[in-house]
Amino acid sequence: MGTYLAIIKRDLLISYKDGDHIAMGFGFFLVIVSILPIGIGSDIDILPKVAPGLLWIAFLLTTLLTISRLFKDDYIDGTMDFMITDSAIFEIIIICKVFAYWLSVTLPLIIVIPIMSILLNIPMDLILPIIFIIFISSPAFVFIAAVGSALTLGMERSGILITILILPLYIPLIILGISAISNNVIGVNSYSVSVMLISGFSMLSIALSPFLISLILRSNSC
Amino acid sequence: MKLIIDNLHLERGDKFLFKNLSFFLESYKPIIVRGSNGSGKTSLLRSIAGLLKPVSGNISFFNETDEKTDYLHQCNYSGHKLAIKNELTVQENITFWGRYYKKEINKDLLIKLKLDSLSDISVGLLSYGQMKKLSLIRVFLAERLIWLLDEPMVGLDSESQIVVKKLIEKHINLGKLIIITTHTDLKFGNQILLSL
Repeated sequence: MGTYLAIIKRDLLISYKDGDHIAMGFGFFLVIVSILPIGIGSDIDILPKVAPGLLWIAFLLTTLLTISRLFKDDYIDGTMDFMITDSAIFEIIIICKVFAYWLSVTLPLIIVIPIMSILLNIPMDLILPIIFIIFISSPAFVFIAAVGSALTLGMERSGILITILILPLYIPLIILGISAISNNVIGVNSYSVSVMLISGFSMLSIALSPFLISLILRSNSC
Repeated sequence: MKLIIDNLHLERGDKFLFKNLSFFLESYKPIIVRGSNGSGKTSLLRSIAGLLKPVSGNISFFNETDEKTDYLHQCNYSGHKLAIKNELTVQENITFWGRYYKKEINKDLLIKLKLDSLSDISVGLLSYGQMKKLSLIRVFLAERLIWLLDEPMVGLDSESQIVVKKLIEKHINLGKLIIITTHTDLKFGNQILLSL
């Protein structure tokens, strides 16, 4: 257990010291959420209707933009070599790295969602359900994006390629998330079904992605 | 205890490196690999460490009781990539490995390698030689059975080379296994020279 905690602590410390990608993620999220409403126009009634979707897309794009470095630094400096061959279980190391990323980038974004929601004129009674749904879908977001990060490991400027590769995989999650929020608004029982499906999607991503990422990273090192 | 390399054929990308390479590594007999640049020294070590798939051939390990066992988790490979984090300080890198391997670092070793006074310095500000010493600390800390050291003396000053050589000798005298690639005049008792 100490081995895996060491990886989480180290990655958090690096994120704290080299805060570029956290600041970039935060800035990107803020810019999208601030700029997009301007594009919608002056009709104040439209914004609350499209705002949950806007938040969702901003969250998703921020994840894709910031995750490209998840494995790259360890690959470039040789840390990956000893982690692959060591006695520690590589798949758990991957989970730890993704979890550290989630703590350093995703969680702060979730924390600022209430402020963003107020900026977007989202009704107060909708803010908690939005946070809850983004929170339960965030593991799926980051683990699927982590697969993209592993796939584009040896490439320069991999951010755009990750977006192209991974974005289609997010479509079911986006549909479920938006439908969960809409159903919550109109009080339909299928809200709980959507929540269960999103939770299932997240758990499946946590269970399968580490094996897929491990396979990709091992073949990359060979 | 024996590591047997049998008819190894290695290529890097499309480049042929060598084939039909067979030798064995055993206790108290370190192997020193020499060869020109690009002859496949690093690839040989990476292949033994499980980081490079050979085109053909086998690598097998027999433990003290002559049983064939998996050896990859017993290896510690130190290559050209130093596996240290430039964003962190010397002490933070060492603390990470200590936690990772669940081992305490020997403070005397840091003093001998002149790293003790650099503990609060960011690794990005160190010279290559200092980074190399820090990188080797990981190998010494992990205390694995098989050391695969790729050019361990590169960048080290003469005093540090003596310290590292003594640590390698200690490893050999404990009956553990080691393969070293080098261009320097590194010599150990009972060493076997392998030219590529």
